[in-house]
Amino acid sequence: MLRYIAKRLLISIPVLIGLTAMIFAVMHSIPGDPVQIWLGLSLRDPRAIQVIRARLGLDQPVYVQYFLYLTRLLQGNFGTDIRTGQPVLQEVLPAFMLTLELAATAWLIAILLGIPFGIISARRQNSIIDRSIMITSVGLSSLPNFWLGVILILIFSVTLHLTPVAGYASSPQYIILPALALGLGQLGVTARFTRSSLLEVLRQDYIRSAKARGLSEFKITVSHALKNALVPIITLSGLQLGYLLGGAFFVEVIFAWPGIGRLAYRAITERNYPLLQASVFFVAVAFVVINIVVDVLYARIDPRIQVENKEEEGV
Amino acid sequence: MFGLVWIIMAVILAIVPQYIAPYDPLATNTAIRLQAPSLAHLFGTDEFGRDILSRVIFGTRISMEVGISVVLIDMILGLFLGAFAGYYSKITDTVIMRFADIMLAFPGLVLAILLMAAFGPGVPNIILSVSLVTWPVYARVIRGETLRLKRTVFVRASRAIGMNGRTVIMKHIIPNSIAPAVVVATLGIGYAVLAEAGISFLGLGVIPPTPSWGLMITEGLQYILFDPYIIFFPGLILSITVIAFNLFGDGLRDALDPSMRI
Repeated sequence: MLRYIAKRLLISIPVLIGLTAMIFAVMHSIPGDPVQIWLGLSLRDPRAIQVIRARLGLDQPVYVQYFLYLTRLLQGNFGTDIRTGQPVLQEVLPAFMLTLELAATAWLIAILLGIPFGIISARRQNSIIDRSIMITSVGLSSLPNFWLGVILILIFSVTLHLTPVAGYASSPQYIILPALALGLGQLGVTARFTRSSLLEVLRQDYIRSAKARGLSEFKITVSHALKNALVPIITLSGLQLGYLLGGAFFVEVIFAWPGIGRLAYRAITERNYPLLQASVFFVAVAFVVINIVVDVLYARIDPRIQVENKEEEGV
Repeated sequence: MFGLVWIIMAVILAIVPQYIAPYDPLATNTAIRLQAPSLAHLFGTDEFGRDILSRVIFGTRISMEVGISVVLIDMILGLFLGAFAGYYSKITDTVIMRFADIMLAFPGLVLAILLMAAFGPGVPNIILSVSLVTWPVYARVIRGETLRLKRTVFVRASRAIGMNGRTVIMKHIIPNSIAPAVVVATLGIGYAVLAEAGISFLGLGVIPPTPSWGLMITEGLQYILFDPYIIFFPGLILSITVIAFNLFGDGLRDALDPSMRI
């Protein structure tokens, strides 16, 4: 098991380095001189611009800038916000935690509702209930979350006055609509996947044997089928948390949720390189870490993964 | 069936919107601005007096253009890179797949949004950004197919008679990998349409006044209190279009390989 974890971590190192290179390359492809954009029309003195550019290291060759960026990253220095002058980490960390809070709430909605609906659908295969759940699931997973968010605001905030329109406070009222907008799509995906996974297991010989022995439908589903069906579902659910981190981008803009997506959006419009780099970096690294955790969890739950891994290595 | 019918309708609208839309989508008329849906304007009018139904119809062209272009580019990239990665040595495979892993390490549309910030707005840049983000999915699928096909009798026989790798890939691997690629592509069109709408919603995509469903939603946000139809209809048509592609993709997958059924 430790070998497997070590291997996964080792493979991730070049991916993380590649990530930083990609973010850096894309950032420096954004047109316009960032110094002139930040200073606006008020300051045009070329000497002042040169001093600021030197202070920010923007007068160095690109590969030197990247090396300096990577060195600072390893020291935990993500740079300074161009607009506020504050260390970027001071803004990004709290914003990231809020995005995590939103993504985690949406994730809970997706699995706590999606898995039961998928089970019901599988047990009532080809019935009206099954078709209704599947049509609803396809519909939910196809809705754009930014449009769904606006519709939810119209219904629950504007018409029914049950929730605030937007913003953040430590109250469930503020998080429920953005979490629904973000989570309902994944609810649909979870329900469909659970149904498929459970049907796959219900077709197995040992389930037929359990039925032949006279076990109740409930006992067969819960004690035998679900345990095996849950393995791929857990894997999918883990990956969904990562996708929700990225999907929160649009929802945070709609609901003015002060998370990392909204921060990144501000950074794009301001050409705020350090802030944008740090925002994207945090989300991408979190996604990589979640994928590693899911892979390890999957190997832990399903021993066949470790056996296949050992066979590949010739052990 | 519903999916196929809607897709055919969408393609027709995309090809000849000028013969179906009742009004010019760019024609402004402040005298009839912010009118609720009526017989004269079935979806109402926006803040500039433009007919929303006509703009939704013309918006279909942008969505289909982006969706189909992205998928075509991804299929070509995915077929070649995936086939080469699966067929050739560990080094080729490692280089291509690690690069794919780096692209896939970005969740959702984060990388596409970042690329749009770099490339600038416009439909060609949207197509380029979304293609660059989604090609790894196709490459992975084709690589998996290639690894399976490499072990088949006809591929081994081709190698035994001295056929070189490139010829084996072009004559055997790619033609036999097209079916799973088409299934992924059909589902990918829906994703690309959503991506374009999302990017335009953030103001980074289509340039106004060109009609785009995402752009219409963001432009209508400020009128949501009293004129919600401005954002309702574009979003509804967008959702139905994505549903149609997903249903069609599911049906295609069930028909081509029932074992892949969800």
